[in-house]
Amino acid sequence: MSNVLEIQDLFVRYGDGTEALRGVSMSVAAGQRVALIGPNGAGKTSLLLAILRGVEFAGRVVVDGLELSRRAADEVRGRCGMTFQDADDQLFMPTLLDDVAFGPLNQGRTPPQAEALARAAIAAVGLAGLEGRSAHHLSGGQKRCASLATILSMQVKLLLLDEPGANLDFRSRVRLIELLAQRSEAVLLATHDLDMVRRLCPQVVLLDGGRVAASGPTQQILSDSSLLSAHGLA
Amino acid sequence: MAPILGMHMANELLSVPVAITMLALAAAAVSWATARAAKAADVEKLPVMGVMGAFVFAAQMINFPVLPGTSDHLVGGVLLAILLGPWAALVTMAAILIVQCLLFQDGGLLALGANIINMGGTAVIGWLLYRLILGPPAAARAWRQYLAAWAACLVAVALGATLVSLEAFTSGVLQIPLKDFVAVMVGVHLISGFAEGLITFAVLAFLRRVRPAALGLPVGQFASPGKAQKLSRKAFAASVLATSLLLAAVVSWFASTRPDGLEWSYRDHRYAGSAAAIRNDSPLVALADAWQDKWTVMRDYSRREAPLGQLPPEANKTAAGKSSWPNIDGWGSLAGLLGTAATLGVLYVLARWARRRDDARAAPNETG
Amino acid sequence: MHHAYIDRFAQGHSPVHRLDARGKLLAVLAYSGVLISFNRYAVSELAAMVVMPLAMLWFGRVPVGFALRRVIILGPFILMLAMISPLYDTSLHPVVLGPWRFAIAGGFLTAADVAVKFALGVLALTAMTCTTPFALLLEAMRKLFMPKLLVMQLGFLYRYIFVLIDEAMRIRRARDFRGAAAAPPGRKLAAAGGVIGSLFVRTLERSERIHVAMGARGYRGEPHSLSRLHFGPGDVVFLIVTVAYLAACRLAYPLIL
Repeated sequence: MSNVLEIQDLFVRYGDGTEALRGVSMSVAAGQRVALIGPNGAGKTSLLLAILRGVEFAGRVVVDGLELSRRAADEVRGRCGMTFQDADDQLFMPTLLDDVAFGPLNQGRTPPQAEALARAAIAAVGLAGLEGRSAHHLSGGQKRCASLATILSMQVKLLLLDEPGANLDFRSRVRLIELLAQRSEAVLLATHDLDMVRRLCPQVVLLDGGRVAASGPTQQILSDSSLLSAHGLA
Repeated sequence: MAPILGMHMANELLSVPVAITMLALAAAAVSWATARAAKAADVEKLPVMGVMGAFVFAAQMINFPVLPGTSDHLVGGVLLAILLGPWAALVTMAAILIVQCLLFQDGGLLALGANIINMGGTAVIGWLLYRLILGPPAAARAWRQYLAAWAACLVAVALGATLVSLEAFTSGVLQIPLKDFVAVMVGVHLISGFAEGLITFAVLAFLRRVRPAALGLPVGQFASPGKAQKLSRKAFAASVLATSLLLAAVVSWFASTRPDGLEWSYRDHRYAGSAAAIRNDSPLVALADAWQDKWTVMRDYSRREAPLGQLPPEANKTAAGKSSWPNIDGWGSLAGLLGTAATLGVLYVLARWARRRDDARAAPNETG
Repeated sequence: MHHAYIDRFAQGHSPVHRLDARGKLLAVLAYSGVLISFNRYAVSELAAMVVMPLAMLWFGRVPVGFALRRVIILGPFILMLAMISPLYDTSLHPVVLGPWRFAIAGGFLTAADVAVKFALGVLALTAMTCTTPFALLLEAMRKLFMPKLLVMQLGFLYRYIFVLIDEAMRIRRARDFRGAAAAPPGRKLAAAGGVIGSLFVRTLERSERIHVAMGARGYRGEPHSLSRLHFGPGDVVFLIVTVAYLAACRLAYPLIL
């Protein structure tokens, strides 16, 4: 099984000098779900953004066999999709259908194709019937599912999810977990929600201070309480 | 949601040629502004100007005090121009006006052209004045910034009010002479222009302290970056004085067009006597009217059509086609009214029937 | 805060809802044009013009009361202007209606004319906007005459109005709870400036994030959109009927501009 994501010695430094990532290496196999955990400021979001080339970085990132460079950025983006912490930032079109069709249209699909993909994705996340609604009519949980739909319609191999369960009530969280459990795409999930990690992800990467502090099977890492407390997670 | 008070033109004050001209002008201006804005920034980033439009809507919900006991709210053109640059601001204002029309029915479709020019175009002019008075932004002291904002907003608003009057006058719907119209519009809006200047300065002062980058100023440029820019009392007083003087000037200009007291009251009196609706056929009144028409120096603020001592042509009030009034067949228009009422009745019944049928179809298990 | 009312009617179902948005837009534009082409003394001639907006409202299942309330809320400014007319135009005009004749000052006729036209205009516009989801209106404008970039911005505006209004309310409440109500006017002004300024900064940051999200979904500067409008035989009929109706209303009376 080939790796859908390979990262080697990733360095990310922001304009004001902060080093968000200092030499991170990791990989995600096809169809595998990996959780990215760590305290605030560990660099989780920066890592996800780097994969999309949303931030400048040094190091090697390979997505689905394609090396991420300035030239290849667009193509690489077409192979992975990211959802952001604030659903309102990525549901920016007048209707839900427009939002979910946005990705496919940019990938070069014709409007009818994009619409079909969008409707399928909306149904897959359980929001069928709400296609004509504008995002401000949706509840928090519905918006999360909608954000997920926006990248599912793009038929990507790798899902990058930044805190998908934040601010969700219990029922919405459970639904989201069930939804993700059914998907076959590879997932890199950045979260504080250790319960979600246990239910969804067999592998965990623990990030702290821009470096990989530990990585391995979820059972092993999350049962190591001294490790967790050393990195502010328990 | 209450409509945003401003100087929105309604379709109905415009004539077709004026509306079309303004629409064409606005379309040209907006296309040009889009092109200029695209050059200035990433083409990719342009779409999110719409979000800035939403910002203006939200900002208009914040009330602020102007004078003790009164409050006003931001309209935003000049502030937008200062924050986003004039071209982006024009396009954003256009978007705002379109959305106001479509979502809140505020301002008509045909008046959009006029509104875009009156409120967006004037913002650009205000911005020019702002930059002129401000000088180099980084070096500008508080009083200068305030006066620049005040002047820009006042001019933008006064210009807008003048344009509204011009458009209405050239359309010829309202029979208000241009001078009066301009005087009233500008006079009233001078006050809101003053308020606009106040809040614009307040926002700029805040941003200067908290987020100078948003104003294009380098961070840490100032000796005491944490210190708020206080509105200098002298500058404020100067602006109040100047605005009041302007207001007084406008009012006196307006007053100068009024006829003298005697004639004014006579006209009122004759008016009340002759036609709230019914014409008085008393020969005495008719005689008085005729005498007045012979000898009035100024009728309806226009030059007399006939020399003093003769009746003006309009005096032939049985209107056999002499007046500008189209002689419409009375029975025809009555028939029109009745026919319309009948049509409406039929349509209403049809609509109710269609609705009931739709409802029945939607809920088949409820009907027997 | 629930802002559902804007779309409350537009998401409904009715024969008018099913009409193509382009047809409705063109119809309302034409209607408005014909409306203002009547001269300033036309009042009874406008009677027949009542039919179209009312028919659209009735068949569109939009409560007429709602539409009338829009007229009343939006009316004051223009009605004030209209009421000034009688002060200036005192020329007498005969009005003949069936067997009745009377004379009325031109200014009053103009005032009535403007008031009626305004009401009808708002009714027509409301009929269109309340039977057409905003996204479809945008598509109609895009297909008819509007540049794609402007349409996209209108979409963003619509999408984020209520998000930002809520945000503004929250910031303002936060300031209010810090005792702004009792402050002197200078302090209040500064507070208002702060609220608006904070909102601006947050909006700037949000638009940055939106831009990143757009890029993450492949946006490169060229807007693409779905095509949901379908012009069918019903729409053709609607347009033909509208044109005939407007022509009849207008040409039944001599053309005086």
